[in-house]
Amino acid sequence: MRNARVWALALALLCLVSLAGCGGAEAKKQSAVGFYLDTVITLTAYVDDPAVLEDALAECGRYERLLSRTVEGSDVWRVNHAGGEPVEVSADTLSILDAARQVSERSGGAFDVTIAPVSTMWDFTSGAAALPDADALRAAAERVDYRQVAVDGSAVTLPAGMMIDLGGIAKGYIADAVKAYLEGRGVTSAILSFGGNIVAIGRKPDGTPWKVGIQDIDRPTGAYMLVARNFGGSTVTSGIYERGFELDGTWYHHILDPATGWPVQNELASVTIFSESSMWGDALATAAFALGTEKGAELIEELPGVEAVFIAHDRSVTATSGAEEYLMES
Amino acid sequence: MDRIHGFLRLHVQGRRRVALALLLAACLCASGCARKAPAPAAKVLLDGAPWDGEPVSTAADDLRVYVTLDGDALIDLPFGEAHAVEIVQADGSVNALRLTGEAVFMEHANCENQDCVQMGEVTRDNLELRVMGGFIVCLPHRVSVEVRGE
Repeated sequence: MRNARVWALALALLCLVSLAGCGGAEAKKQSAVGFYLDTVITLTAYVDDPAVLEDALAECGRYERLLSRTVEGSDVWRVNHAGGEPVEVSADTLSILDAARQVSERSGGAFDVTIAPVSTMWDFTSGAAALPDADALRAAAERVDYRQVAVDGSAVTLPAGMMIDLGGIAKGYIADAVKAYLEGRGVTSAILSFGGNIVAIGRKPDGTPWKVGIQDIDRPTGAYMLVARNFGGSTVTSGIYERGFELDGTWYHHILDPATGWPVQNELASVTIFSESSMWGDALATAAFALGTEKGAELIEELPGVEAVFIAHDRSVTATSGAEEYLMES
Repeated sequence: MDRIHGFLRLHVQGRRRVALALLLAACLCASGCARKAPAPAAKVLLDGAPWDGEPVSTAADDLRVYVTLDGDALIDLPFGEAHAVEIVQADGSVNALRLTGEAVFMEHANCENQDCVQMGEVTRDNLELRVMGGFIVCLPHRVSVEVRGE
């Protein structure tokens, strides 16, 4: 009896001690998974308080409700359903539209947020291999033109019949925003994954850069052709293997040419962009891919602090002038 | 750009977590207020037989494989052992996870998008290089697999 009481007391004390130990400032590796914008999001950070990552995922949800094309009442949904009338949107949406316009202009329309009439005609996710009607696709492509997006103050006007889809840029914007949010909560070491967008905070706790594998274009997912360093910035890869289907010997992938509505057909299999901003990296990966190696590399060389690696179907690798510091021997 | 799935999970790493859990369990038992464990949300088959809930292997391993359903821990195993894990839910959802001792991958799932199967394998070599780190996630079935170290 007495022994039992002593044991109970000892255990209770141990509980208190170990609970108190958990409240210390020592940061532990923690991770969280969420699903937003059709993408699996994984957050891995060295933090003491697990609520920080939960709160960061809640932020993702907030942005999704703002930027999703399909969530009723989102900024994008309201612009698309306004029938040509001006719509007041958030500062977030305005920032994204501004960056999107710049990438569109610099790439001669190779990246275009008004791609939705075309992209909604394709189904790259369900596994069904079906082509859209060619005439309908051609007609839809005529309703793709970023120059028709009019911004006046915080009001956005889009001609009736046109549609915006921020799919090629919003993930990057949210990645940047979540990174800033975590930094604001005191996180100094983290790696965040938003589909093809990887964003890091600082370095690994041992002081070395984060490492990001660049998918081998001919091998199963998880086999890497190159290994890239990430020094606390953004690494975005856009590749034809990510989403698509095969039909009659042709691989139809998700990177669509805004001019024709068909998947971009050139020598490239993937483009990886190294940059500070993942929003820019996201849009530039698509733009550079659509432009092809030569013109894509020219575009990237014009931009300070942005580098790229192009991988062609024949496995040849082309890197921009400053990309070397990001690439590791593998 | 689609709907939200309220699916998230946090993991605390380290021995402290295990120690804390053990101590809390001990405390609850000692104080006589241990609650009955909720009924498991899914059946787990380990190497073809219903899993009895006993910890899988006590062999020391620097990596473990943690399987969760709806964010709740289901089973965890040492990375370095070969096992077949099948997660069968009441609605007929099945995920078959394979551990070879050197790799972990989703061998089969009857989900609609097959994303989890296409996420490929997690190995020691690609663990920190993969886009999703040590994760393999089946969103339609709310099953998450994570390979992580102590």
